[in-house]
Amino acid sequence: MANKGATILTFCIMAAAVAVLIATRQWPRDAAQFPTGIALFVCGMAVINFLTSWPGNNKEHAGKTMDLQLAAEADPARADRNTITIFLWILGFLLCIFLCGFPLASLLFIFLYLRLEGREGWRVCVGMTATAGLFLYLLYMLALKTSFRSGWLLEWLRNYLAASN
Amino acid sequence: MLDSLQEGLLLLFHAKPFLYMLLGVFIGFWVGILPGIGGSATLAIMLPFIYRMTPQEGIPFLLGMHSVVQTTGDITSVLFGIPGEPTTVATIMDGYPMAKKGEAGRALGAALMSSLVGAIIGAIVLVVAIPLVKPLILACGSPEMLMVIIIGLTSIAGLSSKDGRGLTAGLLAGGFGLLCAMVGEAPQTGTLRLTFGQMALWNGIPLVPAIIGIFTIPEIVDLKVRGTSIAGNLSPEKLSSGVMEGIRDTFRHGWLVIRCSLIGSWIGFLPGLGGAVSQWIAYGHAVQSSRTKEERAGFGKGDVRGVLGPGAANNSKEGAGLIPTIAFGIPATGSMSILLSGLIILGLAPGPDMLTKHLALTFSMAWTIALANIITVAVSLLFINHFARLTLIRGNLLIPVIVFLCFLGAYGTENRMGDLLVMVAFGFLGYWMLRAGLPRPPFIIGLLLGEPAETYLALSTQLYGFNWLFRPGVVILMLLAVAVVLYPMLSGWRMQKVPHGK
Repeated sequence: MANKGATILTFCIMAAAVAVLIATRQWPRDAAQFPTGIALFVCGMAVINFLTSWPGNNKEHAGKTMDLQLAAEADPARADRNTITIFLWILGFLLCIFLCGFPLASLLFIFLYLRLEGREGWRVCVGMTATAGLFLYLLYMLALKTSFRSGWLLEWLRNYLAASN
Repeated sequence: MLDSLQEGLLLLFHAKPFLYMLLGVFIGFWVGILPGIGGSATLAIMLPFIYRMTPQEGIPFLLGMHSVVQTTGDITSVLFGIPGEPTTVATIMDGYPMAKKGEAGRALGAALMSSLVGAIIGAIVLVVAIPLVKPLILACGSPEMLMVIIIGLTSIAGLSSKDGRGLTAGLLAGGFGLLCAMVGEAPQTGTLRLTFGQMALWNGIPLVPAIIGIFTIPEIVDLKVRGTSIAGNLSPEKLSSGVMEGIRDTFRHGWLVIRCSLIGSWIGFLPGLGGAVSQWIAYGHAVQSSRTKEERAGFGKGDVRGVLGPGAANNSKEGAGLIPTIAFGIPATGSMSILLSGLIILGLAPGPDMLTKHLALTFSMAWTIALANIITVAVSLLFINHFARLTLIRGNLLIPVIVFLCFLGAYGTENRMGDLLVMVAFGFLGYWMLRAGLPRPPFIIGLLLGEPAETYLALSTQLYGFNWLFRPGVVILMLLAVAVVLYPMLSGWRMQKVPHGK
């Protein structure tokens, strides 16, 4: 899996570098020089990495990079399921922010995650959601005056109600 | 000069300035811990409050707040893998794995003590550099700045894996980071590059959301996959028992801490490089200083030196960053430019007056940095056991809070919805890079240094043609860059020569 993932990622990076090389043809010389040099370098490195990460070529590399090591002891099927689940929650939260606005989406996300995914009791769910809401309101909205845009859904609803009145 | 130094300390010990400093430290403490509330933004928010203060009160307030943000930012980085500040990302690399191994106390002890040492060294650099500052600043033109950036880029070699494949992967990741840094307006011509018609990308990829995404989302996924608390199923006693060990580590690796503090001071002193760079160069240096293959393999998996290096560097840059700000009115970083506005509001004009007429006040800044960090570290050490126990909270309770803080951090910097998309996109990229064995630190170094590298290269060539390559400062720095590249190769060769077990 690591090798397959490395091959696909390397291919994507190489494709991005080639796209940059094509794009530089439309830029003035001064603006194009540096990106051209970098893109050529990336293409070269990608070719070398592409060859060395070809599936079955270098199995020893996994786990040797100087970076976080992902949990290896978990059951792979369960790990994949959990990975997809958490990414879906993150994407759902993002979508919810665009639809309902940041403050409401945050409260919904924390409550629903704790209740549905964490299977926590009502007290914990309500308590933590209320604490997060209070933190957001007092620090960001009241003290720091952060402006949160209302979501598309709420804006549509507001416009709809205004039009119907 | 000694009289002024003493007077500077006495200025700080008047009741009102001291209380204002404590208030600043209190605010800075929480600003550092909470992701997304940046030190610069808080400085800007606090500016209106200093209008009625005297310089003796306003400076301790602003500087007390600003100088401790990095210190407490390390706490969040170690405990949750979320950068409390953009300048504390490198601490995650080894601090968070230590927390996962149940060594949160040791990592926090090391981070706090190295931060304190770094801050004190930064303050000393400020005091010592004041008489020497003019020739030093004038000696640094755009070619020398470019060479410092190249030294930063060469640290990619040190931050990649030790085998040949790892080096290629590191260089590929670094190159990709440089490529991403090309997004936005070209520095020379103003041409829009790779913006896809999005105005949000005119200034390039927003760094804070990108950094939060690439480092934190993979950690969240990992926490979910493991299904335990951050520290697994360890006993609370084990967690907090290593605090003294972490403090001892700082002195055990004292020479490394001093070297990284000096690296931080140097980067902080140079205008335009930004605080986020110094931590990575220091981290790269810590990695390169490992003597054996086994030692080197420990980095990224919880080596205390990976905490000590960045911890010292990101604090020492504050004192040094004040040098060009107060001496010439050239702010070294974004936050220094806000601090400069603060000085002007307080009626102080940066320049020769700060080094002559207001010398005692200038020295009081160095004292404030040192004292504010001593207070913060002392208070943090009192509560460190409680902090460490946070790593025992169940993952299911922590995940929604961490995700919420990440989104808040990404949004809170510029208040733009587009930044949330950037954070999630970089989160996916970070996770994919981890799965594919591409290291993330070189990518971040490329992303941070791409734009200044292009700017200084263009400036150097326009001003000096190719003659800039022969300037004495450039030659010295070039040799240093070559040494940085060759050192890991030579040490690798030496390690191969030494038979196993010796």
